[in-house]
Amino acid sequence: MDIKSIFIYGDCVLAAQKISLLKRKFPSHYVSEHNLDEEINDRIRMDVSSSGIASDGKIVILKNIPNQKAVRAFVVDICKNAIDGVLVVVWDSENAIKRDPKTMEINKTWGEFISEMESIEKCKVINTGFDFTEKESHLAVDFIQQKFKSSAFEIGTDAAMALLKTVGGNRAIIQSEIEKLILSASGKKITYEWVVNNCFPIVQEPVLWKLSSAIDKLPLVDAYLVLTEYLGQGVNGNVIAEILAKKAKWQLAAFNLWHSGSYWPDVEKELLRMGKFPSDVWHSDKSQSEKKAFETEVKELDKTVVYLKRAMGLKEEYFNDLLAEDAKMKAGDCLPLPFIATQIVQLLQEKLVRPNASKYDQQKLKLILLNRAVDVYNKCLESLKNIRYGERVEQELYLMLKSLLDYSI
Amino acid sequence: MKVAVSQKTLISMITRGGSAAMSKASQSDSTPYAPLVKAVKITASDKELVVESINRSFSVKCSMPVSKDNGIEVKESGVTVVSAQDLYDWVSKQGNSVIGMNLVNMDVPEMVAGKGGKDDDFHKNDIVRKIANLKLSSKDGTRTGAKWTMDSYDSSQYPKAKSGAEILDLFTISKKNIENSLNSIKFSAQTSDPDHVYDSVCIQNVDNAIYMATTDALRCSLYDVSKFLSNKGVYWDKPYNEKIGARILVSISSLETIIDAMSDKPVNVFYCKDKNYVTFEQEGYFAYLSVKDSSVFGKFPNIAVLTTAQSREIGLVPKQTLMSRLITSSLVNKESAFFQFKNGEFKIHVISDGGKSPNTSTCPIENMQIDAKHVWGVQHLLGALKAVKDDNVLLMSSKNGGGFKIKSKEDPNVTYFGTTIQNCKYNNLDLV
Repeated sequence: MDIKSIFIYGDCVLAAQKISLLKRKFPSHYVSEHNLDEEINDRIRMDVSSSGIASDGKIVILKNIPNQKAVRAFVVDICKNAIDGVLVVVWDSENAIKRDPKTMEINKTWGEFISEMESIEKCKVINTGFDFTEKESHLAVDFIQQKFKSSAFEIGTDAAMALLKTVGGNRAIIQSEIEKLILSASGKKITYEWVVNNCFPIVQEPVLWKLSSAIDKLPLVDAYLVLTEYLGQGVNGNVIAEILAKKAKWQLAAFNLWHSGSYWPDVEKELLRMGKFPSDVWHSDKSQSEKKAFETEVKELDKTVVYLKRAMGLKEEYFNDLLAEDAKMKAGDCLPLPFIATQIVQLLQEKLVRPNASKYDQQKLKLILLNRAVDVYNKCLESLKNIRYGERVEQELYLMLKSLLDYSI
Repeated sequence: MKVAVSQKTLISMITRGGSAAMSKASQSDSTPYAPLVKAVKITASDKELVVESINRSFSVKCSMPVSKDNGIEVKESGVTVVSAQDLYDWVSKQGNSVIGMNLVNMDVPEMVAGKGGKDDDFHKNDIVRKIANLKLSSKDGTRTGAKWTMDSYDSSQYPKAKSGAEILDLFTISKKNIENSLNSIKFSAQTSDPDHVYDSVCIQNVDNAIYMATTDALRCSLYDVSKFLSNKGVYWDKPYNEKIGARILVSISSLETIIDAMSDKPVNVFYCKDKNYVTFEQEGYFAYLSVKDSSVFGKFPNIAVLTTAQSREIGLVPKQTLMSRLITSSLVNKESAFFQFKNGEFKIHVISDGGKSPNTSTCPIENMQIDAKHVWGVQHLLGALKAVKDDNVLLMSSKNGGGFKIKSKEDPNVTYFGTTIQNCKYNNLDLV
């Protein structure tokens, strides 16, 4: 062993895996562990200063570094004076080292500690990484693609993003999900659809949308059983009702767009843009590229205010308080995951458009389906209102399901 | 089953044969099978009375021939499985009496523990069944006594120890010798180790001598049991690997319980490699102890490194004085201290990382052979000193590494070793 000490910080699960691998690399070594925030330094000093009796070597794991200057100094001293035959592993097992959410940097004190450890001879510093933030989704995609590549699999950017959106930014969870997907994949290329169908959702929204897409595939009775399972798992009835009401709303929006003359591929794109404020962005007759440019233009609050004054005739004084408070634009009610737009469109085509295409001419069919969507949406809103009042939750949810899954016209 | 046994014989048999059921591990069992784990099985035939118990680590069986001299009379053979502790508690209170055990079968068995449910589930193996009542009675010299009834479980549910194909002789040893040897060295082991390596005693062949060894990875105690063994088996001829002689690892806590239950007669020890167990057999006594798989034997340090290491004598130190100095030193640092032997003087100096001021002690020493400086574990040295019976202790240090070594003159078979500690705080220290 050339290295005499190792310092590991970052994701705890990944760090624990590395330590586990280290123990397996030296099976005959004696392994002892100490909590730096609990144990007396004399005991730790003794343990790291002795390679053991009649043994091949020793690994001493010092974990749970408290945020104390004296302990950090002690750790540095231990690592500087590490002896032959003993591998000292210092592990930030409780994530004392964190990134500032605003600056994304480690704070100065811990940063200096890390630098000091890096400067110690024969000390290896390992950063297993922190959770990916939304701004780091490109890094997360790279991480995912590299993980798949290391096992000779290939995953595109869209599929990687879908995986990220479904399981969240925690590295250990991403890695675990990737390992699971690799085991169950049939081919070497991981597709978007396959990720969507096989990923286990961790983030709340995908959990709920998974419920929503499960319901789409099932007959009414089975869909209701799935719904009651989610209720049984503690998902609030109000939350499920909102999901179903949103389903009805997106379906109404889709049929409205189709009725207004959009083709189905455009309907998908429009659904994805829905909910971005101001709604004028997608209500207008502009082309796709013009809409996109316009959307970028009015992204900031002050520019939105200018637009609202100019286009809608609203007075400036209405916005004075908002601008004074330095308020931010609130995200509208958007589709949480991009593939959901595809799912909505595919469902409507499969269940309503194609089966009835031969019975009615297209214009009549568009009107009939739009009216049906309005009817379904109104029924769902009525049930949602009742559920919010706490009335007959399961019965109202059943009625919502019944109207959504009744594809007869 | 109808049996009459003298209280003295029965209590002795329950103590020995029920030791697995009455062990701490069994008594704290809270699984659905707890009634069976805590139970003792008594089998009476016209030839012998057998009391046995089993838990997850070991089983013991004590048997005695049916005879007037032994105080055992069997009127009707049978088998009963009853709570070991309860039976022991009741029998132990009956004084010098004859205990009658009469088993009365129930018409309809009852479910005692396990998963409840429909009647159809009753015959499944995951439910402990009570099938009889064991009626106990005692009669002493006054021709009066006590009566009690205990639940008797289905003996077909009572677990059996697995048996292997290749059983190898290890050796024969007396209870006294194995007990003394273990008591001399067990303090060096860890009290518990998740891998059950450092809380075990290693019995190893080193250059045709058989040693019992314990270690906590920082100190080691060895006991040469070679001269206590007879019928040394061929198992010891085949080394474990190119560096380590033949060895087995046995849990200390289970071994202690088994030794306690032995009689004073010689005990034959066997090892089954394919099923990983060791058996201890005496006349009227059989114990079965699960051991770790031989694939992990290599994790225990190779004691041949210690037995073959050269050491040099430092000097003779009065045990009580040295212990007193070490206890004083431990007030500052319980773990390690600096020992300097120079110019005929023996000094102990302790520094602490915990903020306490250093402490220096001096200790008398005779026949000091060499000047030396070492850092040793305070508790390691204290433990060894407490174990030796000598009034004066010959301190030695290893030529390779500088760890301490203590051999006892009162018992030359035992040796204690402690590792050297390279505490940088004592680097270049020279006590004046």
